[in-house]
Amino acid sequence: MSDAKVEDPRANAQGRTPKRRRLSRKFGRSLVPWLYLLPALVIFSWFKFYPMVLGFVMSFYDIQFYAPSEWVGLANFSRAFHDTQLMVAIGHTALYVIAETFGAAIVAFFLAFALEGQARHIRFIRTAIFLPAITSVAIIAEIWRIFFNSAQYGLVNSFLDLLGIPAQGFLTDPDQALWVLILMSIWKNAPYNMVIFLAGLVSINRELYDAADVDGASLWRKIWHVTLPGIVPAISVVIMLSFIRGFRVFTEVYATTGGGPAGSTSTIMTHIYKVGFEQIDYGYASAVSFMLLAFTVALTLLHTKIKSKFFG
Amino acid sequence: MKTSLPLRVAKFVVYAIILLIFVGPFWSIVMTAISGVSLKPGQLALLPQSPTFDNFKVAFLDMRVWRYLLNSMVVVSFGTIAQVVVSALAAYALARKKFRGAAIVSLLILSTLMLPEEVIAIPLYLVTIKQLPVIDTSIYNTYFAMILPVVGWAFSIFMLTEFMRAVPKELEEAARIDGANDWQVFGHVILPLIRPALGTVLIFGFIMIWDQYLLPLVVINDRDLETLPVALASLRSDPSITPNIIVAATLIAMAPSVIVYLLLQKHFNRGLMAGAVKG
Amino acid sequence: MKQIWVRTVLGGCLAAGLAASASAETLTVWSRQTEKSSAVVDAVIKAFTDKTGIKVETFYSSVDFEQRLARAAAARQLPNVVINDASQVGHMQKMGIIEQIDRDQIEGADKVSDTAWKSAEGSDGNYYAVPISAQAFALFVRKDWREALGMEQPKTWEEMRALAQAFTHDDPDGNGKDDTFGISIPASSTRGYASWFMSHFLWQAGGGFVTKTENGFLPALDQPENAQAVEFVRGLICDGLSQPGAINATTADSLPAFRSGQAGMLVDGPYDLGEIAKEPGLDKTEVIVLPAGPGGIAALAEGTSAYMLKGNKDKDAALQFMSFLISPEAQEIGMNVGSEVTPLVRLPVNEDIDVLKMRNDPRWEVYQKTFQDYGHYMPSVPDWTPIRQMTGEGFNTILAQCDGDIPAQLAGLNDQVADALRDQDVLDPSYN
Repeated sequence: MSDAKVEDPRANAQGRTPKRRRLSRKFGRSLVPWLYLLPALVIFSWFKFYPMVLGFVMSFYDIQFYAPSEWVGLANFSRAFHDTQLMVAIGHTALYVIAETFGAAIVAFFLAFALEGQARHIRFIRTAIFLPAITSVAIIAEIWRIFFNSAQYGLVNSFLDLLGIPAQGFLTDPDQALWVLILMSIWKNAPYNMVIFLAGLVSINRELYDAADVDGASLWRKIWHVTLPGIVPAISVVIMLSFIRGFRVFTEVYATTGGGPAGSTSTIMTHIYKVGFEQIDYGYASAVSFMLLAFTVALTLLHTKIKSKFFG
Repeated sequence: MKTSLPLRVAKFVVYAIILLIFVGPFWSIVMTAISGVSLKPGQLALLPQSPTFDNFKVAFLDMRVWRYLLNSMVVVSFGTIAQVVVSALAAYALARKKFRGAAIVSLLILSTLMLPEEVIAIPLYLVTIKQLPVIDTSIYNTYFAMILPVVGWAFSIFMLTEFMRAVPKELEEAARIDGANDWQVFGHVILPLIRPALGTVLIFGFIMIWDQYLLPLVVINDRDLETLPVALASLRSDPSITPNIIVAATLIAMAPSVIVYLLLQKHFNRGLMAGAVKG
Repeated sequence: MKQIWVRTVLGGCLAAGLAASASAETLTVWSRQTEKSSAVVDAVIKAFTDKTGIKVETFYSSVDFEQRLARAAAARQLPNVVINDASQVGHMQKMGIIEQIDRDQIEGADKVSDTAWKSAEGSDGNYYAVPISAQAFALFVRKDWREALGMEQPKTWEEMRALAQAFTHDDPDGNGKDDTFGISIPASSTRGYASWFMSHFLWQAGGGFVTKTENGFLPALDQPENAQAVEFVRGLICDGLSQPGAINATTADSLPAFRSGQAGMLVDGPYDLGEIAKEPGLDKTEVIVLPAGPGGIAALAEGTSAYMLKGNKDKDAALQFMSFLISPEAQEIGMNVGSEVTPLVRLPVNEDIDVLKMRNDPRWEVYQKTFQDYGHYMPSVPDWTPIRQMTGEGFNTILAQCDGDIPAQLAGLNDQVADALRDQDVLDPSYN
């Protein structure tokens, strides 16, 4: 960014009376942050806030597309509480978010341990395994559908066959499908989390390890008392991102199982999509979405509170 | 460094398994794309069978992937640059200025990350199709409709805010004593110090815009303006196109993200680390 | 002075505007087509423009089509005419975006068979579309596999299952590997595929989704015939006679499964003949009437219709276009004889055209016969979409649970259908 053409804000004030100058300076100073925010605020108001408000208004209507829409008050919201399929979907989503968050964190933790260091080959591996994180979800879904194909000749099934395990249904088995999707999500997110953890590991003071060695602490105790506390900030980032992402999981599911088999992988968003968009009931879809929004905002605030209370 | 042989072997095995799990799938995707034999659903090639680049040729020329690639390039290049500029400016205000309303602005911006974008599809459509007051025209069905909405992305604003907060106050004060004005502090002190973060945000912004599916679907009504993700979805819905060609098209679509990542990955890794240390 | 000047300019502009719109009428037509199949529609439209001078602007998409219409409706930016599945009539009528059609306004309407017109009927008995193509479903069989195993063409469910078993276990392609399956099934709940696939079998068993009464509709899924149908299809999936992943498959998965030689049977419409001709090839496949169930032979009948949308400024041009679509000229172009590309017109609706004369192909005879003698349209409840969705979800669940209690599961699904009918105010009050 070049600064050559930029005028000194103070230059404008020159030639004015001292009093006005002081006033305008004060006013100017409180205005400055808003000037920096202006481009973002224009774009956000135009393409995010205003559509969000429109969407929020829609949640109070039975949306008709050509005739005038009908005001239904809170009916769309109260309907959500009686929607048994939505309740099932919330259960799946909660399980998905929790299992995926912890799974990805644990795998990332081991990856970070295995791939710590600056050796050339380690740097290469670190770069290479980031591939899943930069690949779009639609492509990853396609890959997993093929790898976890339930055919005997499916890649994972062929491998299990070598180990003497019979062919599994994976995405076609109501008892396994959600777990395969969780695994997929861990696969995509663990390398990303690893990089964040690595940063945490690097920042841990080496002397703490030395002190632990002097005390004769076991590896496990070292991990528990030195490593983990050291990467708490990193863990916090990982959990928050994972929650924000996880509760609105959609493409991952829609492109692999469409919410099936037997509804075993329905999530909040696939449910909203089916009721709201395939059956074209936008009012209800908006209402549930804004409840999800409120819940996620609350969760984020809670997370920030907990973090600042315990970890400063 | 002296490591015993068993340890070296163990390490090698661990590395091999990690690579196999995380990179192996991509290998078979590439092999499938260069295979001339069409495969059964659920099969991928582990080694190329009668290797050929025809799949790429068909995808690129006959399926007009070149055209969609071009559209994606236009959108992603303008979109990413504008996004980083706008985000950096906003982040500077949020990170380095104390002003009333900062908290609420932050929360409002962050909340846009949490709303499923499907919900605002119709409102967004209405916004783009409306005649704009000053220029008296609608941006619907133009590149602008795909670029402008992605310029605002809460994730990059927050990432940059976190990094800018981490820059020590003393550096800024020293610059001000030297007579630097606000803009100069921003350009000469803050931005150079957060270069790794800018690299990170650039990569994430690039990938986010590159993968946009719903937005072009909503604001474009012309096959010639469609971007790759939308075009790929159309290709997949066409039963007459064999899987190998779709895989080849998919690889073409993936390539730019990978290239950008490789080019910027030094910044990227450093950026992520610095961010995490801060928390 | 100034006023006169303004008036002249304004008047001039207005006149110019009027003149322009009169000479260069432009009709906007949207259709759900893939990149390839859109060429056929383009050919029909070109013939129309050549004939009438009315220009047509087109938009084709194979993804997100209904959503796009919904958005366009919300902004009052609807196209003039939409060419889409006939089954969308109830849904579009419910959205309130289509105009009622007076058969007398359509030139040549009397040439269109009453069966075809039936597909354009709304729940109130009025017409809301002009049918332009009809089709039914039949069974594709790998003839080479069947003959290699010395089996007969299946005429009943039992024979169909026996053939599926042989295809699965007796290595019909002779490659020495256990990698073939009996039948390719799309049983995903997405977009209601499972419901769509089950419909043939429900009718073949003598059952069905709903029964039409004088006072509305009664849900009928709890009839024992339907349980038989579900049990038959569940057997195909649970006994491993269908392609792997059938339970999550859409037609985008089930067609490749047949084409690639993974599965030996496929229930499909005539629109995929061109693709199947390319692979595995017409010499290796045969098209037969769907096997009979306990209730006889039955198949789903579908069609393609042209809809006139609301907000049309020039209804006359739209009506002209729709009349043209059913004319012998347009129907012939739409049939796209001699090309592998999916035709716009599958079975012509204009009775003056003999499909068998135009297409010298016995496969089309099977489709023609099935449509005329065994075709069932989906029930004409006001909005079938939520029910298709719900039953798709329900059938997907039942088919996925290999040891579930089918009659109990169907009874539960039946109650859901009753609720949906009640929501649409068409549930027969005698339902308890």
